[in-house]
Amino acid sequence: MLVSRRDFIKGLVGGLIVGAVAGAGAVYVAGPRREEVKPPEVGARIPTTPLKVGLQYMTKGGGAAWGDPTYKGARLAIEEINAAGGILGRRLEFVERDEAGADATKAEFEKLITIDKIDVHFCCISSGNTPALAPIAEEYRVLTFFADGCTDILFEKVVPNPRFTFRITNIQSADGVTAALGAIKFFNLMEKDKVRVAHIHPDYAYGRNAYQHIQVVFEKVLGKDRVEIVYEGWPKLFGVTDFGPFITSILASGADVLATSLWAADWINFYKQALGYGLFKKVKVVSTISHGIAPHMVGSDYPDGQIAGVHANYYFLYPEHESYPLNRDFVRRYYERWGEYPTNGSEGAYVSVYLYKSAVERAYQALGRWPEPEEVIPFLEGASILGPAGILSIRARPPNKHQGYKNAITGISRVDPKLGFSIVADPLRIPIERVTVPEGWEGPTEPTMTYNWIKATWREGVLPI
Amino acid sequence: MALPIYVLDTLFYSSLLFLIIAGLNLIYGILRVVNLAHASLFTFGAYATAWITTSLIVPRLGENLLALMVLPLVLAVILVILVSLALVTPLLRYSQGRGDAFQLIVTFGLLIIFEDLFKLIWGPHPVSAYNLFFQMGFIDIAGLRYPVYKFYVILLTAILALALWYVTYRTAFGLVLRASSMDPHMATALGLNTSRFLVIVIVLASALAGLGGALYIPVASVQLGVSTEFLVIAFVGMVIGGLGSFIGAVVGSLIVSSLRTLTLIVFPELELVVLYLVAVIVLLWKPEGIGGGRGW
Amino acid sequence: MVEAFRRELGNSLAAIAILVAVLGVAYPILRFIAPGYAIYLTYGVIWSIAALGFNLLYGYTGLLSFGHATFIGIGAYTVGLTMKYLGLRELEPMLVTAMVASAALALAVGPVVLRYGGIFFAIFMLAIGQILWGFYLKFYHVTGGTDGIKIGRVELLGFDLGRIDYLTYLTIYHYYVLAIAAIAYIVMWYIVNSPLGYSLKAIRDNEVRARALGIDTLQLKLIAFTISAVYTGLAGALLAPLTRLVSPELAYWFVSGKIVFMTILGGASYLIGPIVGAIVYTYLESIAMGYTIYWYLLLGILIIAVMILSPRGLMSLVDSLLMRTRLRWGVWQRPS
Repeated sequence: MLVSRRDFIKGLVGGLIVGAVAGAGAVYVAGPRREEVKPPEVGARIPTTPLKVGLQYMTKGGGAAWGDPTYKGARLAIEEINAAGGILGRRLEFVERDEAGADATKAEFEKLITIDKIDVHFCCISSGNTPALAPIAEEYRVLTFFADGCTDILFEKVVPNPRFTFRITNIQSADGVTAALGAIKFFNLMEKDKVRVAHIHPDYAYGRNAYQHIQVVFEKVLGKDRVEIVYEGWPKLFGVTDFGPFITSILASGADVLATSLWAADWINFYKQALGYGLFKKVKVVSTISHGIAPHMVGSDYPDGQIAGVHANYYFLYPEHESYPLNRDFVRRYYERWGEYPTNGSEGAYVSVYLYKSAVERAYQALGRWPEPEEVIPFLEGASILGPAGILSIRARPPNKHQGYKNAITGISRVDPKLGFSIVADPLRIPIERVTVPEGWEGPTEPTMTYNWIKATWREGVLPI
Repeated sequence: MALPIYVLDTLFYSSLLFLIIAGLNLIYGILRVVNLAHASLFTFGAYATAWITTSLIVPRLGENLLALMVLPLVLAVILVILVSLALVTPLLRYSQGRGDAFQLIVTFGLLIIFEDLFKLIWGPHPVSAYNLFFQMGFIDIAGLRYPVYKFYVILLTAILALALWYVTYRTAFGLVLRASSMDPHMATALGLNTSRFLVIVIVLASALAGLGGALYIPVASVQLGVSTEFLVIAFVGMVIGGLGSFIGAVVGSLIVSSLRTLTLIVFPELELVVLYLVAVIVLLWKPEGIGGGRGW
Repeated sequence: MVEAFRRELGNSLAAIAILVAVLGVAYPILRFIAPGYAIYLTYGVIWSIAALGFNLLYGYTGLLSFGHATFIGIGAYTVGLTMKYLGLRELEPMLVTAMVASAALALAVGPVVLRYGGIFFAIFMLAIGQILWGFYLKFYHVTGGTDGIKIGRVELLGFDLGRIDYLTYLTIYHYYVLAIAAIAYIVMWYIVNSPLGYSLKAIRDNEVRARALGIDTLQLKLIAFTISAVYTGLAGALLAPLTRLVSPELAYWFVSGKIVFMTILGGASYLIGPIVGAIVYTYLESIAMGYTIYWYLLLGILIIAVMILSPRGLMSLVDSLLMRTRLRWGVWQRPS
């Protein structure tokens, strides 16, 4: 069945003409726009329409144990701000979407920007997602505050010169470093002849980062010849429900210490199953993040005496409530609102919203009108804000420009009889300057700058705290 | 040093796989339908058991060992059978004879429906019920602790496999099973492949899968995505063992489980890859499978 | 124009031309009325290339592959890896490489895998896809594992588009993709209307008879398989600059299932069926995802509903609708 040439050409030409017209029209409609900062209009200094706020945290799936409290922290901030009149009188209206795998999270983010037209975005707990979303935020020029997703590569490699993206909770390398320092101190590792270390981490950015930094600190402070890696396990994030084989291998390896960054559902599964195998009787566990979920979820069956990491950020009991009303009141309000205690994610998201508010208000004072997104940026860089965890400051210069910094914290797990769950006791507070690469330092970025900074500048055999 | 533990773990995992693959093979052998949603019944069994244990059994009967062993299992399997009759059976019967593409797509649709049903009913958080696991305690093997519960599962499944063997080779029903799977047309002509018979087959297969889930939950937790995790491995086992064959289910589950344990010890990075590679190799070398032959 | 309508609906070049024109005109219209949804048109066009390739194998040769995500992965990772390790920015060489890589894999596994039909072939393809998926996942240092590879802006036809604003970049990309798609559609039309196409249909209808007629079925199946792989690999490569991220999820067997469904949704027995199906499905998925968190439920129900109620796809519905008015237009032939 042959098509006659005439018909073919007719069809082709017709299609091309229509296509060309459409294309020209399209370029006209969506053509390049020059950046315009609109001059202030008299009488319209602050829009009266609500401010559209995007919220995207893992509230479903394996990460929900983490994402849900983070989400609640942001919601609490939004509700408090609205009750007090909003930001410069503008009400905050939030649009929420789920955070999942990088693909889906990115797609939802793009929809929030293009379809829901959000003005500002608060999101993300997974380190797989922040590097994926940041370029999109920069392309669309939407101010985005990451509560977590703290991977070093974000501002060291993916977006080394960020404009619109900021991140609030401590950088990931701080996690591993803090946990390792805590382990050395609490388990007296410096006294031991040999330390056999087993590792189990989720197979993605966060897990690898934890592994690298725990190792580099162990090797630096204890000495390379004293540290031996006897096992490494890399389960897929939220992809394993039966940790039996891993637990057995760890026990068989004869490890003294188990270093882990398994979190949320993975950690709950692991520790419960590990209890059944008697793991905690044979091995001391160093976790970067075990107590970072909603505090009551770390049940009274959790063994005492393990390093109880909180993502090096915040645990609701510290700073102690008696001496620090800001934390006391935050915890109280959060508990009244949600019926549970806040996590470091809650605090981070909470502070991120207030940080934005404070920057917008200061920009308004300088400009006399509601600021465009790019005008808020200078009021965020180098800014500090007092939060329930203490002081948070946003770095203005590389490395890790736009990263938030606060002092790091870890401790020992202990079941509190009054509260009925395992808490972080004997807090070890470390000034953040001791555990992370400082502003202005230059060096290789592989695997992270903090890693290389430790290798280059820390003294062998010395515990720097 | 840890060898006995690895062997036991292999047997444990292969027990679960056997329960899934046996069902898959029953359905494929007798109805010639590929059921991508089969592992979803495994997951449903796990969810149901967890829920029954924590909401119904423990509040009323405490941590009574016998109650924990028997009741959640039985109730969960009944639930799975009901769900299968309602959702799965009609679809599988309709898919019969409509071609591979139809079956694959329709059961794929069913698979994702189940995933969301789990989310709807039990929420997105992982669900667990470790009670029985802890109740049964552990014994020492080669200096390492091993849960008694896993022994129990291995034993129970072995008995079940024997029972299934007995039914297949020593009963009239088993004769019909074998005949139907070897030559469905002839079986229909002889009046054997009745509607009722086929429904019984599907129910049996579903019950086995649900039982697998019920046995799985005390040692682990169940969450979204478990279905696909087990489905793909079960498929590999099905292919390696032999499509539609009872012996194939036994052989396939053992081989796949052993491979998995081996790769986990030696080269954990490639755990996933090795399984599929072996499946491809077996498909090339002996497409009817290592254990299988003709039908059930 | 009337003559064109007289030909087989859905299989003619005129239908292709109209479709391409519609996809060209619809874009700016969408930008006007619902800007957030314009990008899905581009996605739809890209997936249509994949579905078209898939359907050469399925609708025309009768081989169901449940592992076409394999080639999507190859295409996407070709772009990702060349950008990451070779620093390449021009898209064209990456597209060519992706197509060559897909063809290479097809030619490597084809001679073995194509000896089997039916369920074996489907599972084979699934297994191969999963092997590659496992590699993408586990070789973290090369592929970035689950974090994937970020894709920056690409250069099209030698033009560096780094400076223009994002929406314009997306618009240009849409027409770029559409142009490639148009060529792909026309080439496919030629293939299915060529002697090769007829032989494939013969194999689909009755392979034994085809062989008896002297057709070298294995060789022809291999050709069809390779072309199918090339199309899907091309689609995978075109996806990367749009998703801005290449991750193992693109190669997971779920994606294979979606490609199969898109094709069936549109209508596997029509040339433009997969195109229509891909675009409709892309929109359905994005709307469903935004509408409810239980969109898997909706999708699953939709899949089953379509298979039971209209297994010949949307195009068959259009066909029967128009058949009722055919008296006004003259005699029509039913599609093959």
